[in-house]
Amino acid sequence: MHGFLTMIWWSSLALAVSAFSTFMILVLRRWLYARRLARTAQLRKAVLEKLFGYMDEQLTDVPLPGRREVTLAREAAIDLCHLVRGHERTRLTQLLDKVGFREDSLRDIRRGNVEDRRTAAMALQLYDDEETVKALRHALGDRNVDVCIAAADSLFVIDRLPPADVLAEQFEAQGVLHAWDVRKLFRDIARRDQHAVSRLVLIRGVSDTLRRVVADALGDAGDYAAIETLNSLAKDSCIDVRVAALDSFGRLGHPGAQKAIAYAFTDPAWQVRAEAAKAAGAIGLDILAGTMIALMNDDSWWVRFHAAQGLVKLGGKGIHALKQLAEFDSQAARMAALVLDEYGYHVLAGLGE
Amino acid sequence: MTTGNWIQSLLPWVHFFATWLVGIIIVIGVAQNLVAFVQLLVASRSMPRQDEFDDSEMRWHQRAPTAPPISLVAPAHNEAGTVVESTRSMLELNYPHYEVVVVNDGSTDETLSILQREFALRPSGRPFEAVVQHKPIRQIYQSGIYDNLIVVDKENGGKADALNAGINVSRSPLFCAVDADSMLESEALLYAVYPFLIEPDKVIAVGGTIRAANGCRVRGGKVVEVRVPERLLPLLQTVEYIRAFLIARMAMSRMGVLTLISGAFGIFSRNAAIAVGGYDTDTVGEDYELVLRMHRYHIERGIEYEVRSVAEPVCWTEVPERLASLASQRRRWQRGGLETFFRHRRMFLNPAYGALGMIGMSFSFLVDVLGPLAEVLGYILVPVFYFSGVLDVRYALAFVALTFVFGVFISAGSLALEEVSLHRHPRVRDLWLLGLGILVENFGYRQLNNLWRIQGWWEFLRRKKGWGKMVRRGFDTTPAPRS
Repeated sequence: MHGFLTMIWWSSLALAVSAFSTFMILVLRRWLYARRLARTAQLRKAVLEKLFGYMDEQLTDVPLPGRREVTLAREAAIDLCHLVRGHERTRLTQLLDKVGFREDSLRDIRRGNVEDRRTAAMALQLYDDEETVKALRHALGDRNVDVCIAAADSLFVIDRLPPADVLAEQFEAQGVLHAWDVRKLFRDIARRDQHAVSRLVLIRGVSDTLRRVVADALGDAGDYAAIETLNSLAKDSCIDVRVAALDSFGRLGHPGAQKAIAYAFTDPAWQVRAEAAKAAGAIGLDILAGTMIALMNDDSWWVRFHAAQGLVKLGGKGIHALKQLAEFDSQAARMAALVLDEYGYHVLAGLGE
Repeated sequence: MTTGNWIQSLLPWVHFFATWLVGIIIVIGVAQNLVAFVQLLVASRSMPRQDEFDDSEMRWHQRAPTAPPISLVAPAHNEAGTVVESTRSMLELNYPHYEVVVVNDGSTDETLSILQREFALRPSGRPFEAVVQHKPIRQIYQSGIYDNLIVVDKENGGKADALNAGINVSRSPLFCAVDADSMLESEALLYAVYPFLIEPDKVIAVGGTIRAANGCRVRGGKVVEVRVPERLLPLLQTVEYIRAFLIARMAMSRMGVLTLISGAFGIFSRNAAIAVGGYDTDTVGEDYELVLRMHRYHIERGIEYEVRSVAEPVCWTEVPERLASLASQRRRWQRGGLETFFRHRRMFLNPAYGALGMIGMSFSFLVDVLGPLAEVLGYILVPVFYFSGVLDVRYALAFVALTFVFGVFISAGSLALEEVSLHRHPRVRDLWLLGLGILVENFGYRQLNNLWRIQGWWEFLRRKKGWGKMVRRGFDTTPAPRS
């Protein structure tokens, strides 16, 4: 028993010493950090002056005597690279090469911790040589989603992304296809080449998630040829895909979507009907105003609401229709009156639903 | 049998009983410490490094294009002193699409008139879908200055009721419940929305880290200079908040058993909250209750879901500076915790609820239900048994020392996590103050806290309802010196 008692006291002592040491290390670390911060501010200023001189070709080289200066120059050059283009950017990239930035980034993307890998993946978009492309493509398979996305973004910037189907397959295998960052990447790809994205729906056994990604991405295509693919996706068996397709119609803003939207007004899923009403308003399809008025009697509150909002967005014709509807005494009339009031077209007394 | 003999014959039984009782108390204490230690280890594995938080421009670039709209819902009841500043802080967030819904919950002070004056409110016919229950809305107002500011004036029904009104009036797929007396970091939503961007189909709720604003310099509803409070009571609460949010919440989030998202800041999927009927107006622990009910709903229906916590400080709140207010808050927290735990006791150690039932609810049972009882019982029984001669004082002292030192060790660990990951307190002096707080909290504050929690237990047993009053000192709005 005595041994047990001794053990308790020794445990307490060990914990106390650990806690005290931790605290003292934190204080010391903080003190050193504060000193370094002040020194870094001065150094950074000096380094920036040299960098600007180098970009303007007033200096032929940037003398960086210490390791700290090299790190600061590297950080500042990366920041500046995002702000400048052309000759100045080339000069900065050359400078980064000189201080071993590319090699360090290639090392970090393979062996660093998550943050190092992500930073390296983002930074490597400054280079487009084969070794960099290989490293970035390898990072597409990283176990961390942020690293994959950063690598994909960089490959997109240097226009060396693998084909969209390979990319989709890879993201799907990693279970990250549903992430918003991935959807954003596919929107970027669709802006550059909508056909590459549209073709994905032709893959045998394409998943609901991928069809949703495609439907979402095509809204940013800016190419009205995407409407054909969206038309078929707007009749997809999966509700989420239909909703994404209708949202994309709204973003594309092309009247070619009229038939698909009118068809979606009768969809059994309220989410689809609501999204269709939104899209009709966003495109300005006043030819559908009559059908939208009919939607004002829908069982779903969101469908009635989006139909009313859509009618307001149609302008004169829609607003006139809503005003006429508001004079009656019904669920639809109340929604019409409230939405008109919210948009400043009508003033109600004694509000609240 | 004489009285003396009778007492003599009872003594072995008293000794036996005392030994067992002290043993149980020690086991509970050790188990609590072990839980804290495991949480520290898990949290330290899941905490990001400080440099991950540094690049706000990059964060905007990455997250803003796909960030879903969010409705901030801020219930306000008699908050005339702070409501303008906190509303301004909400209106100045760095987030692409959001609206602010301030719900005036039948205030009897000037909360509404101040809001009307400061934000040029005009009556609005904003339609809304009445999907969760709440007391009647008198009027909805729209700001003439800020398009994204809505004020809902409703009859008094309590915080949960006001939040339900906010859920109804909000139109975004996500809503963020915030206290109207809190101040948000300008990137609060960008930080906290991240899990929704990565797992949009799974994540149903995300909690953020709350920090004590006492002592900080505040300007225009924003914390412009982080300082550790010099007054003792807020200082000790600062230590508690760091420990709770950086260790317990982060660890439980990582283990998939996070049961509490603070009412001061939490983002929820509107559909998921509506599916469970919104906030329960019959408990003072409405934040804990909602999260537990959402867990339960999804597990019972076999729906995949996640509840997460983010480490970044997203919200600053004024913690009580007076003992009476603090006592009232802690009693209420304890009562709310017990109400929720016992309402969902079916989940406790029930394998059908997976890790949540086996681990999450066990943590709650140990820390929230048994914790204060065991500790206070220990404080009472140890001297009693010592004077009765049935307790070995050497062991008692050793265990008390171990328990205290363990508390200090865990708090030092949380401070280390804060320093390595977040580094929010810029001055060395602040570190010293926090270190002092870590030591001092074990002598008096910890015992008081447990006493209040026992009172909370008593109120729970008496089925007491209501919130009690909290006296706020107001933020220090002295302009910060230029650095």
